Amino acid sequence: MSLTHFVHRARLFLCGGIFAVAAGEYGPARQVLAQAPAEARKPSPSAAELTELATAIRPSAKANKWQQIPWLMDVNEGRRVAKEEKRLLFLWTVFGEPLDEC
Amino acid sequence: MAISLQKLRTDPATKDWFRSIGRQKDQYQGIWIVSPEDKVMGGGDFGYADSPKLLDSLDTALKASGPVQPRKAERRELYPFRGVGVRPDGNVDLALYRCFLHLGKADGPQMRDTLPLNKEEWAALRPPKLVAGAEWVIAEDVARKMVRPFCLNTLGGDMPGPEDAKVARLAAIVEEVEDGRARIRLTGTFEAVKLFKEKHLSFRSTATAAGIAEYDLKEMTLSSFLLVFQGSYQQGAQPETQKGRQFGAVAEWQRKRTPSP
Repeated sequence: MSLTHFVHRARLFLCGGIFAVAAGEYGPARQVLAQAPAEARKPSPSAAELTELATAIRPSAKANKWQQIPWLMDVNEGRRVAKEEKRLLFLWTVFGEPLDEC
Repeated sequence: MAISLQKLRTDPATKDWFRSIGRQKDQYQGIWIVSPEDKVMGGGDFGYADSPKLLDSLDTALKASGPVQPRKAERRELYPFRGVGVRPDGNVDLALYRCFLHLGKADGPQMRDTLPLNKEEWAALRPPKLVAGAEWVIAEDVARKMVRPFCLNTLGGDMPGPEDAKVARLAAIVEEVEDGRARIRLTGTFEAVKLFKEKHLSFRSTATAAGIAEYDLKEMTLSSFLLVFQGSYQQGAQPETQKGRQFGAVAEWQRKRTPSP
């Protein structure tokens, strides 16, 4: 192999090596950028868009009608009223707070 | 009556009565229809889509007990500070809502909850400078509390708390100061993980948050706060390996109540 060829091949090898190193060095960075969290790439939603999404997440006024019932939260008071008014007692109980959780 | 099961079972004033009711209709939770003489006439552990069954049960119980006149009942606010106003001690209750989402619409029941913030925590949401462009990061102990709506149910007994927050970053910027009001933008990134002995109950939620708030320069107080979360919910053993489901949540508050529809 002539010296010229050797230098040429050495250059090619070095260039290839540098390219490979660069690809290794910067490749994942590109990948990270490509996988940047969606919120970093999306513009902030407008106030109207936020309100619209909040409306989809909140129960509707119709679905909230049960909140208009003046629920009693004391069993003994409920039993007293049931006896006094000769009515059935409607007891709703759940693990948690039925009126304010889940 | 609407009463917490834990309270009903443990309160010395009610536990014996509830035990006698449970003996007549054995179910963990739900509805019991009881006569004034403590006889169970109906009920059931009804699910989200069971309202026809509940109505049937009510009709059956009413038929058996005889006719009654409608009660004269007036509406009242059972949680007057939920999502509205400041308590006399300076504490505030954020109203929370959450549901699964599909294509931006609720997919299943929308749930409600409350997040109490004490006076100091509430102050962390106020802008430190009332000039456009002023930025601040909400104190981490306050941001960590915001993961409460990251689970759709009281799995294992508790909603997610600050100790379950793995990531809780909430930042704010004063976008504009105009007409005596400062408009604030909020952005955040959150992750909550809760692991249970019952592995199927373990869950992980990740979400981004975007919000708007308004500060009244004259009254020197926030007048509204809205934070909307969107993210993914995974449940089961090693929840990070489970298939995610889209969910959304809202944390909101306003200084004055708007009239009910």
